[in-house]
Amino acid sequence: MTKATELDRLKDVLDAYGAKPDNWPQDEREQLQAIASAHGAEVAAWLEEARQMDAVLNLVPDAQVPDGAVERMLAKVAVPPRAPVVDFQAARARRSMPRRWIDLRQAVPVGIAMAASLMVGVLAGLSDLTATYIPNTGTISLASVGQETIGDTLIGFETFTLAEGDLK
Amino acid sequence: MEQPLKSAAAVTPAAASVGQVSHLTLLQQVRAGDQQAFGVLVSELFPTVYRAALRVLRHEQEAEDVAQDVFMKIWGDPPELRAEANLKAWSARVATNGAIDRLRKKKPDISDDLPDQVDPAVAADEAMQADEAADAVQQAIDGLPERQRLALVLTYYEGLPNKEAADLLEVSVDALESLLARARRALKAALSEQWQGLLEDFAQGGQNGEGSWKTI
Repeated sequence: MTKATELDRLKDVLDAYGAKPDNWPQDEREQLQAIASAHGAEVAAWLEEARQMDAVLNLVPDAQVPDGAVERMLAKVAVPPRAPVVDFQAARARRSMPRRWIDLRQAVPVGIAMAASLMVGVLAGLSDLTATYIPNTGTISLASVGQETIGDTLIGFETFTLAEGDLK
Repeated sequence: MEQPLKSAAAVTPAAASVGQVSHLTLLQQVRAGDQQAFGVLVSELFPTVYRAALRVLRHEQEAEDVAQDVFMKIWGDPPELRAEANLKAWSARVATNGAIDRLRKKKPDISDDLPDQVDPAVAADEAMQADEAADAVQQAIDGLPERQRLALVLTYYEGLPNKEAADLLEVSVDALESLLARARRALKAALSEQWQGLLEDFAQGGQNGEGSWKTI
């Protein structure tokens, strides 16, 4: 590249991209900086003109983000709480509930679970088995402790509570 | 005859700086459905993304819509960025591309025509927050023919590589450089009466400038 061609290219780049090498085409940056350094006196006026334009462009302020814009964005992905469903199977596994008493293999609605628990208690002749759903807590308390003999069979039972963590 | 803007397709993650590691960590958490991590990302990146869209569209509501699209994309389909990638730059670029797409839908044949009406809310906001000099510069930029304005916005304010800016405007790099040179000449002509005052403002601190002349 001749000197004239080099200088012409530097002038074009300054006119288009300004004086900051960071804004120059990456593949020409190093070479153009060398040209500018080598011909300081000749290119001084071009550089000054480009710097002035950069300075004026830099006077433009950053726009303010509208009030509430971030909150509106986050509201778009907020996941609403899902309706509670009792997972009796998981609860039973965690609390070692005697399988002979209640064997609910699948998650069932709260009302059905309560009815089933009470029915077991009545059929077994136990007087103190209770099942209580506590409103607004997502908790079912099934309460009875001890053991009972029915015929020749000794049946053990225990208290457990289905708490909020058992809901999914 | 210049061609209309093309659709913004591929987005190339920019080279990163060291401080972006935390963004990538947050992105991993977002990928696992962590809303809290997403909230942190939105809080940190929203201004950059919003401004990138606003510079192109000059309309607050549309810029916010574009910014929301960017973050919904991050939430719904988090990008696979390399460890050295810069999520901030990537997000700004997606916003710029989205804004260009939106502009193209409104105005398929953008050329060197007269600019649209600027969003009054933006103009009022700018008038309130900027001093007289900054307002004059902003108005001069807004008064540029649309394609010249976009060339300036994409390369100078958004820092896109010339090839990428040219692709977005669907012009050659030579044509982009011609648009940029014409834009700068037009701005200087429009601001000729205030020129010395503007330089003094810059020397005193300006808005975004460092208030000093940089040397090569």
